Amino acid sequence: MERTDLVFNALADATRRELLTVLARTSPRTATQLVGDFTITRQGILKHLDVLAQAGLVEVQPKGRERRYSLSPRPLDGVNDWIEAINATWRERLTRLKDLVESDEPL
Amino acid sequence: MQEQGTLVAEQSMVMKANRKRVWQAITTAKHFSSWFGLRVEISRLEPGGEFKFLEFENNLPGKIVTVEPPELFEFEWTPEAGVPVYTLVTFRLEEVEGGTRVTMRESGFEKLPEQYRKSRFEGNSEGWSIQIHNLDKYLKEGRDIGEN
Repeated sequence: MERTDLVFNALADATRRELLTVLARTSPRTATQLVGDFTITRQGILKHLDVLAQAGLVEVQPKGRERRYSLSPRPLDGVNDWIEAINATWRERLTRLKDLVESDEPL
Repeated sequence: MQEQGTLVAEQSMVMKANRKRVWQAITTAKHFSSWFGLRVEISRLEPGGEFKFLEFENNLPGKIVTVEPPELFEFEWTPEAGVPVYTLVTFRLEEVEGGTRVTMRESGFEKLPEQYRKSRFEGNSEGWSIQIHNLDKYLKEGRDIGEN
């Protein structure tokens, strides 16, 4: 998979999005610290963190026996570009809607 | 109502027309087709009603989700025939001084398959405002922290 696909795949899961949100508030954190914020097991958290790391959305640093995870938001730039393009299409459509409703045409 | 961190496009515009008029323009097939840019067919204007896009070789299926005149209209549509993934399009109409504020929101892009994302991106390279609801806000904070 290309990097953007890995990013989308990572974002497609609600738990992973929640993990990113938690890490955005407080980073770095260990898996053990993160477990308290979630209802899934530590092993489950580690699996999700691994998917996020492969997409480049979190960075992993070893710290003693545990690893510390930090948010790395740079890969989201590609996603932003993509959403921007969709917004552009919608803006064009809404501009045409505005022209229509502000015209004299009977609706 | 909205799942946290879902990917959304959102655009808002004030139009000099009353809500009833805007409502007509977004919920009748003839008018919708004219501004949207693709021909649609509406089987019946109620939740569960078909909202079909006719322009392509294969019609794109869509389904009406919410009809609350003259405030809220929602439908789901799929980017490609045969792709079993839908995004939700929401139109919210608010009365404001001098007219109606129309807010359009399309959500659920994170579910779309790769080939669709690519085609859609290559077709439009112009940039506008960026919206990644909720997640974006937190991520920006995270990014600021990261760079200091």
